[in-house]
Amino acid sequence: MRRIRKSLFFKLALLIVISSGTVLAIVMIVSNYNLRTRILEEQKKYYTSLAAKSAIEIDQKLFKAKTIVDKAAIIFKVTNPTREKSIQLLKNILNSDEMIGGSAVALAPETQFDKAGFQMLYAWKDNDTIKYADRINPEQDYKSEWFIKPYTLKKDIWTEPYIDTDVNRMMVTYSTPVIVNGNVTAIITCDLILDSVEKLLMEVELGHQGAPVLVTNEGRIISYPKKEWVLKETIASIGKKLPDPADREMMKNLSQLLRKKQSGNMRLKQINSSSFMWFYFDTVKEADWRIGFLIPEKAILSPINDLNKKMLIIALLGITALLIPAFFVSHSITNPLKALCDASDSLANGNFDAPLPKLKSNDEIGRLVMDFERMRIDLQDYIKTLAATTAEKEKIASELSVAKEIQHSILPKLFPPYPKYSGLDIFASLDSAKEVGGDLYDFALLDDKKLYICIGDVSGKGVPASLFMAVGKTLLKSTVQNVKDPAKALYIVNNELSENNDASMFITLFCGILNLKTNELTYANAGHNPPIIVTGKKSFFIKQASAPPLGAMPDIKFTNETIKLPEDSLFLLYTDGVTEAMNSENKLFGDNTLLEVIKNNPAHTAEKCIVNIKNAVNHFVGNAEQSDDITMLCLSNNINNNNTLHDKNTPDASIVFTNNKSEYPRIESWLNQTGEKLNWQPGFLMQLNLALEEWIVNVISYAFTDNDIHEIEVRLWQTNKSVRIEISDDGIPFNPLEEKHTDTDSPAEEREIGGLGIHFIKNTVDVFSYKRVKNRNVVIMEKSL
Amino acid sequence: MLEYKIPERLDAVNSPDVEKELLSKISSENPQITICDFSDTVYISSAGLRIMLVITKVMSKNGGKLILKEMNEDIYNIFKMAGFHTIMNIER
Repeated sequence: MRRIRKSLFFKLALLIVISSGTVLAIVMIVSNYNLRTRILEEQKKYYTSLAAKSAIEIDQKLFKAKTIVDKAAIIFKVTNPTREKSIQLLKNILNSDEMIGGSAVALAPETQFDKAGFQMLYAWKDNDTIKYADRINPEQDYKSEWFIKPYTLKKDIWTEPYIDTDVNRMMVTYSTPVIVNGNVTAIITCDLILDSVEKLLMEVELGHQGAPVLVTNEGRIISYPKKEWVLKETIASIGKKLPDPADREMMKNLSQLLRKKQSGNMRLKQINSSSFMWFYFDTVKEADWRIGFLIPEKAILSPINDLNKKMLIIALLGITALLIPAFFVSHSITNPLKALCDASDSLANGNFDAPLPKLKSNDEIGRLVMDFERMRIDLQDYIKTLAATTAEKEKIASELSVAKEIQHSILPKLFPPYPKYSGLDIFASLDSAKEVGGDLYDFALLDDKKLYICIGDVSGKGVPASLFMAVGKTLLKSTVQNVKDPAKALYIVNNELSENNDASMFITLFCGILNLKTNELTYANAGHNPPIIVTGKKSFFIKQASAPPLGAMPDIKFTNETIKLPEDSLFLLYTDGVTEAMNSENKLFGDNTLLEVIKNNPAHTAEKCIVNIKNAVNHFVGNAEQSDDITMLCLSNNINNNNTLHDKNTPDASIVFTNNKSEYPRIESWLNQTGEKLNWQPGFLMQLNLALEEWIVNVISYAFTDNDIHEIEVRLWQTNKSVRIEISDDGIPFNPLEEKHTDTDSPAEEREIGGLGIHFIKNTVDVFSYKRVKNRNVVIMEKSL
Repeated sequence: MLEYKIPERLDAVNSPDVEKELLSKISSENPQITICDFSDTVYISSAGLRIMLVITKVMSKNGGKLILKEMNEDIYNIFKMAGFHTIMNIER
C-alpha cells in the first residue's frame, strides 16, 4: 500500500515537474532571446552614440586648433609678414589653445628668404614661456610629411600621430598651405598634444570591463589600454601575429570595416578565449580617426543573467507550490485506495467481514469501492457455499478412508504370518484403485498342516463392492474352517450370496487348501483368473474347470482339483487388476506380459515376486490412472524345512539314553555342555532344560508299560535363529497336544498334580509338535534364540 | 516355624528326596509356618513345583501356611507360568 501511494504521488510530481518545467523553460528561452536581441540593440545605440559623442568632442578639439592655424594662414597670406611678425603670429597660435604645444611657419623653398628674413621658424611652449628658433636643418624638414604633403597637395593635412621625443608626448601635427596665386608660398603648422584626447577617452564610462580604442583610418593604434601597441601596431599587424586563422581572419575583417565605414559595430571573438566582445565605433572627421569601444558581451548581457536567476528561483518556487496540491490530490486518491488495499488484504486472509471505506464521491474511486463491495458480498456467499460443499466432501472422504481402513484391516497383513513354519513363505498385497475396492485375499491355518488361501474380485468398485467383498471374505473363511473343502465351501458361500442378491453383484474367487507337509493343493475356482506356478525352469497357469462366479446364481456345483506344487516353486494368485492394467494408450498388461515378467525377474521369495510384478505393472501403466484394484498373493512351501523330521541333516548335538530315572543327571550335563558349545544365554539354557526335562520325565514315567529297557533319542539342531530339539521314543502313542488344558487358575487345594509339565513345554518353546512315525513318538520343540 | 533351604536345583533328580525330607520335618515339628528359602536355587522344574503344591496343601490342611522367599526372577517366572504365584505366599 505504501508503494502504491508513493508511486502515485511520485508519478504526479514527476508529471508536474516535467510539464511545468518544459513550459517554463520554453518561456525562458523565448524571452531570453527577445531580451538579448533588445539589449544588444539598446547597447548598440548607446555605445554607438557614445562613440559619436566622443568623436565629436575630439573633433572639436582638432577643429579648434585647425581654425586657429587656418586663421593664421590667412593673416600670413594677407600681411606677408616679416620675421618679427611671423614670430608674433606663432606666439599667437600657441597662446590660442592649450593643446597646441608647438607651431611652425616654413617658407616654400622658391619663396624669397631675404625679404622675410627667415626661412623656417618654430615656436614651442617651455613651461609657461614660449620660445622660438629657426629650424636648423630646413632641407631635412622640406622632406618631412608635415611639409611635403600640404605643399604638393595644396591642402591642409593631419599627420600621423607620433611621439615627440623631446617631450615624450604623443602628438599630431596639422599643416596648412598658404596659397598665393595658386602657388604654395608657405606652410603653417601646429603640434597638438594628445594628452587631453587620451584623458577624454579614459574618462568615458564603459564599465570596468570595457576598453576605449582610438585608431587611424589605417588601423594604427593611437590609444588603447595595451600601451606597447600604441603607434607601433595596426589592427592588421596584430591580426597577422595571431596563431588562430579564425582570429586572423576576424582582425582582417575588422581592419577593412574600419577603413570602409565611418561608424558601425562588430561582434568579435575574444582572442584566446571562447567569449565574445562587441565593438562600436564612430569617426573623428577632422583627422579621419576611428574611435571605438570594446565591450564584453557578458557584461552587456549581464542583466539577462540576473533576470535568469530570478526567473529560475520563481520557477522553482512555482513548481514547489504546484507539488503541494499534487500531494493532496494524490492523497485524496490513494487514501481510499489504501483503505481498499487493507480491506482486500484482510479479505485475502479470509476475513470477509472487513469494513470497506465509506463512499464519499461518485468518481472512479467511488465506483471501485462499490464494485469491491459487491465482490466482497459475492465472495462471502461463494465461500459459504464452498465451505458447505467442501465439508460435505470431506465428510464423505473421511468416511471413505475409514471404510478403506476397515476393509484393509480385515485382510491379513502381517508377514511372515507363521514364523514357526520356517519353510512357509507367504506375501500378499492389495492396492486399491479408488478409496475402497472390491478385491480380496485371505489365508489361514486350518490346522498344523493345512493352509487355506483365497483370492477374489468383486464385480464393480467403490463402497458397494467393498461391502460385498467384506461379506464374501468373512463368509468364505468361516465356511472353509468348518468344511475344510474348497468346492463345498464355494457351494455354500455361493448359495448364501445368491440369496437376496438384488444388486446382482458377484465375486470371482479362487479358493485352495495347501497341505504343508505334502505341498498338495486342493482347489476350486469360481470364475477367477488361473493362478500361476512359478518354477526356476518355467512358469504356467494351472489348469482348471470353468465355473461361474459366486453370487451369480444359486446351486452351482464346484469341483475340487488337486495339484502338487513342485519343489522350490512359487504359487502366485492375482486379480485381473494385474493382467488388465491399462496404460495411457489403452493397452492391457496381459497374461503373456505377466509370464514374461516372472520369467525375466527370477524371485526366490514371495515378496520379491510380488514386488517385481508391481514394478513392472507400474512401469507399464506410466502416468495413466490405476483402473482397478491390483491384488496379489504369493506363497512357497519347503516341505523339507517345515515341521518335519530332520532326517537328512546331521544334528549339532545328540544323546541316547535309557528309560531310567538315573539317567537324568547325564541328560542335564549333556544339555549344559551343548549350551556351552553353542553359546546359549543362561536363561535360554534354563528354559530349554525345563522343556526337555518335562518331556523326558513324561516319557520315562508313562511311555513304557513293560519292564524292558528302551532307548530314547534326543537330537538338537541350531540355526542362526532358533534351536530345534527332536525327542523320539518307542513307547505307547501319546500326543501331548491333545492333552486337555492345564488348570492354572484354581486354588491350590483343587489343583491336580501332573499335566503341568506339558503346560510348561507349551509356554517355554515357540514350536511344540508331535507325530507318530514308524511306531515312534516324535516330539519337536523349537525355540527362537 | 520351620525354615528349609531349597537346593541349587530342584528337578526330577532330587525332588523325591526333598519331598520326603520336608514332609518328615513337617510331620515331626508340626509348624504353623513353613518357610522355603530359594536364595540358592537357580533351577526348578514341574517336579519341584509339585512338591511346593503338596506342601501348600499339607500346611493349609493343618491350618498353617507355607512361605516361599528369596527366589530369583527366573524361578518366579516358572511359578508364574504355572499360575502358582496366585495361590502361594511368595515373598520376594
